[in-house]
Amino acid sequence: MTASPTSSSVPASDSEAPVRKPRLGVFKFASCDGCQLSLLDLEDELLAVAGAIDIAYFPEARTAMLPGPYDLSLVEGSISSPEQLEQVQEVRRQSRFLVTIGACATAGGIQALRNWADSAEYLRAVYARPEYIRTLETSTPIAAHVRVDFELRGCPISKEQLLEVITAFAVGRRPNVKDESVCLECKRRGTVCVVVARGMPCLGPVTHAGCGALCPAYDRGCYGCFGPRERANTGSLAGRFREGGAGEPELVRLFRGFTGYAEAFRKESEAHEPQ
Amino acid sequence: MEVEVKAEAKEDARSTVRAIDRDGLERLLGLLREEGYRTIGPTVRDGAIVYDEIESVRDLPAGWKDEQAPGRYRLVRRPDDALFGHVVGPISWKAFLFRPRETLTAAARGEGGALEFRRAPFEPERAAFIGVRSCDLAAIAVQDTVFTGGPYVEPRYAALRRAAFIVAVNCLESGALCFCASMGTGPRARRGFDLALTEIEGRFTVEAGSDAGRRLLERLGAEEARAEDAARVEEGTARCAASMAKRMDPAGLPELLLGNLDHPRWDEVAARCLACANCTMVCPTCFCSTVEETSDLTGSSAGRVRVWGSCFTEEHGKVHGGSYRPEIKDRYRQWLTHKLASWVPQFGTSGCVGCGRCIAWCPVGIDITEEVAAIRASPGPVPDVQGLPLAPVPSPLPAPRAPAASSVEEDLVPRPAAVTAAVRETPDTVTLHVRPPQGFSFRPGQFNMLSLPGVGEVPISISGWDGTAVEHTIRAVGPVTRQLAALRPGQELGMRGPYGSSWPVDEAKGCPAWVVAGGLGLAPLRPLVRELIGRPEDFPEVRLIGGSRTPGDILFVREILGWIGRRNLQTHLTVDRAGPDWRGSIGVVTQLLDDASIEGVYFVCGPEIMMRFAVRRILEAGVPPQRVYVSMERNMKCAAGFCGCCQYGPLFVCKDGPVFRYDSVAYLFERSGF
Amino acid sequence: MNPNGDPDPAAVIRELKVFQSLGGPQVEALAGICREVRYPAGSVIFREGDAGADIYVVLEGRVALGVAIPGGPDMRFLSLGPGDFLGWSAFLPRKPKMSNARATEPARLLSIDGAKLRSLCDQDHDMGYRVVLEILSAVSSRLQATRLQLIDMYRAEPR
Repeated sequence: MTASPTSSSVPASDSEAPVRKPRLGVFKFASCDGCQLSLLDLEDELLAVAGAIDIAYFPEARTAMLPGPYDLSLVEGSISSPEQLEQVQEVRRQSRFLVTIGACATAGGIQALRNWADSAEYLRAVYARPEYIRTLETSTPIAAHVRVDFELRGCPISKEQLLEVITAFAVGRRPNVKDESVCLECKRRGTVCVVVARGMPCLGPVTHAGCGALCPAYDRGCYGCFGPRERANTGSLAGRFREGGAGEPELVRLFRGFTGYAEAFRKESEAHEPQ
Repeated sequence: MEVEVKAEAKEDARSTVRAIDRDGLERLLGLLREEGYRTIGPTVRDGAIVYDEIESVRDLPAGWKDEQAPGRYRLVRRPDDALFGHVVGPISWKAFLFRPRETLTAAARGEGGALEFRRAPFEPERAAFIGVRSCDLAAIAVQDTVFTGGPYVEPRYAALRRAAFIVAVNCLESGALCFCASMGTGPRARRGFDLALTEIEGRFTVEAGSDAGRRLLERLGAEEARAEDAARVEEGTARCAASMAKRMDPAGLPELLLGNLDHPRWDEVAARCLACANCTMVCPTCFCSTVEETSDLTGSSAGRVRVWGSCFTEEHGKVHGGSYRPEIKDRYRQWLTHKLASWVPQFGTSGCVGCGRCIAWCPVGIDITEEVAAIRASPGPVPDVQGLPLAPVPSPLPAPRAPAASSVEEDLVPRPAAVTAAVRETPDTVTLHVRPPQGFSFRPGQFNMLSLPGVGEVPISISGWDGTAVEHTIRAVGPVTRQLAALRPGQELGMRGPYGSSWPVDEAKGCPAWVVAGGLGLAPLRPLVRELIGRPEDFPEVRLIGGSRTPGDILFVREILGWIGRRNLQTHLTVDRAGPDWRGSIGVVTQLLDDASIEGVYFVCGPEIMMRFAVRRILEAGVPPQRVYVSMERNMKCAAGFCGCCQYGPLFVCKDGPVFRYDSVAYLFERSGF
Repeated sequence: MNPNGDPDPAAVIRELKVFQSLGGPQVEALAGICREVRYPAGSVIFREGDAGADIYVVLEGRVALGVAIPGGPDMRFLSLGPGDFLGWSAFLPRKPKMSNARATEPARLLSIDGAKLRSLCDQDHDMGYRVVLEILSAVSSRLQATRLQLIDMYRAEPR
């Protein structure tokens, strides 16, 4: 992605009258709120953010809601109900630059597990009065419905990366969010590979970097929270785990996690389902 | 440089052989710390032997052995309690010399908006590397050549390298994935160390390989080693070499691999390869890097951080408009052909030292030696390697190369430079006139790196010199170029350069000089045209052929109109499409080459696809490829040959190019994936 | 030149590179079905969809080929100059003109009756082969050029 520079972003040595601060909107669909809370979690940097941008819409943080349009919209959550189908169109209309944040918004989230099941049956099992619930058969990412300018992955997103996306937008650069494997992060920080040294299944080689290789640093395989990276060769990795003793049900579970509905992971898990 | 001093001094050092026990080794570590070195050596962490700070012999992996297989590494107990009874693990010494993250530049916008760039503070830590294997000595020598042996010296690497004290360890047992013996890099450490240890039955022979090593040995005051100890070192390493099961035949690898770029094996390995980049991360010679821009929210303070990169990432081959290596096959082939083939003409040695790390740490166990063997077993029918710029014979053991006398330190820090004029050429293209920070001279065809703090840095070809300022013609296509193109007179940007090769103007002396430009490709050709038409006695017949998408996209219209009537210049412009107002030629630029002169010298620049068709037309007319020059573009981060991103086969576009004689790139020119 | 000042068509044909391979009698036969035509700058030579009886060779001046784009001016994609074929589709039976041709400079053209040329080539296959080879060469170079325009080679440009 290329964050379009705002008018204020062009470095000006002879800066003129103060320019309007970019307006930020934060929106939520089906999700746990964890990702948008990373914005509040910024703590030390939050004042600087508030100084550089105008937080116009953020129900979690302020009571006054200013109407659009917004220069930058952060959108959390998946599309899961009929109302959301319409709301997301409105958010798009009101947003100049729309960034989806988190696994729900970028891949459908954990709730997308229902895409492989009978959602009516789920409703009956979970709710005492299922007739009050209006829901779609599937949980789908925002990009399945509207144009998205940039996706920030993660479950939850990393607050450092969120700050980077906002900063990059304000300054007008390409955000330093690399579409590469988690393995590069492991190796740059000196973490020993858990696949090679411990024989653990780990989705790191096919997963988008960004978490800083958190799980392998704690002796666990990567769960794929950031979703598939570009050219994710999931088939070869699954073959390796099968040789290591993983059965088909285990492979289905491995790829069907928080970002299981993202295309590369979805296809891989489906390939290991009983025919 | 001290690197070379060490290489020289080792031969006469063999006589100084001492013997120490474990306490002696402890004293040695103590002396090193006393001299201010941080002692780094093998130690057990997270199920592997890694290199990390060690404070005592107790931190060494006593009694551990590493069992290795493709994609598999396990620590097991040894029957004895040897300290160095293992081979190599996932971390190599490059982590301490070419570090994973290095801040290059800090920039700030001062009072009144003036730019300031500083080389980021850098403390070259004095580190003693304990337990460097022979393969890794060779790897360090390889990286010495990469970072200090070319026209540019990378000062951070050079400083860390100068400050390092190397204690090698001879291998007496081979790992299952080791193949240094066949690569000629081990297992006996012969040079490139300050001290070398050999661990025999709980005792160590120590030999000095440098003055620093000899001095330390004197301070250690150890007893002379017995003659039979020295003999056991030779015997033990020879036995180790003989027992090495894995091997790779390095003979003729450049020709074999570059001659088999379409071998079906590339597809087979691509089906298994994860493009996860682990092989490049653990490889002790891989040196590619990328750069991260950082800044605060207002952009008033910013920095550039170099991080380890990899040719297995999409970013490595990316430029605006796409990636040169989109497929995993392209990336694996890039890696293997670079490591084993292109490396030879680039640096005079193979890039592989036979340490086996890439085999062990590949999650799916791809074995470099097997991939090579498979191609060698069924080479393609006609290996066509004509025109390859290969060195005659790669030396088996890389010897550190002395930096060229003309080599200069390149710290990659830009200098502030002010825009004196901004001339709009087309709706999305601007020529910035930039007053260079100090004395500046360039040759037509070279480029500068232009940057805005916190936004990024891009290579921009030099499109002229107006008497006081350098001209850069910039099309606003990405975030950096968009903001550069929006600069106004008085504003500042960061500049470093000029870099790269130039159009060999004098090759065209007395010949028809054909300048063939497509779109923005006219920018680096304009200073050439100015020089050619300014020397009519040398260049009596200059022809400028320019193609653009539409009449509105033609660059430098006023200047071109001003050239009308020059007696040594004929100008032919064409556009791909036009409205009714355009009276000039319509059609693709290659159609203007139908009457290409066989005596001509051709200078071609434009989009690669345009150059491909233009060059084909020129060659069809019978022009020898040696009389055709092209200017290439690839991803560029450093412009000095350090980052590895701009490689085009064995060539670095930044320092070998961007201008190439066509025959040196011909075998890659019509091929995708490079 | 013949007595009334018009150039001798056979002499004109012999000067043209595209007919260089024709023998003397073939040139004479071709001359019998040709005439020279002149178009002032800006005039239309033929339009898209015209029945298109004639094939032309440009002798002087420039001609631009374009197509009408609804709601806008013609989009011109090729200009032709001396020695170039124009309207070659007239060589094929029942093939209307595929673009608009307009003189962008005063133009002098050799106009050849397409149907008659075809029947000459039918009678003399040797001549037919040579003529078709020349037309094929022109069409091939235009196909190549069209591909390059289709690729839109200036889209992804070097910096």
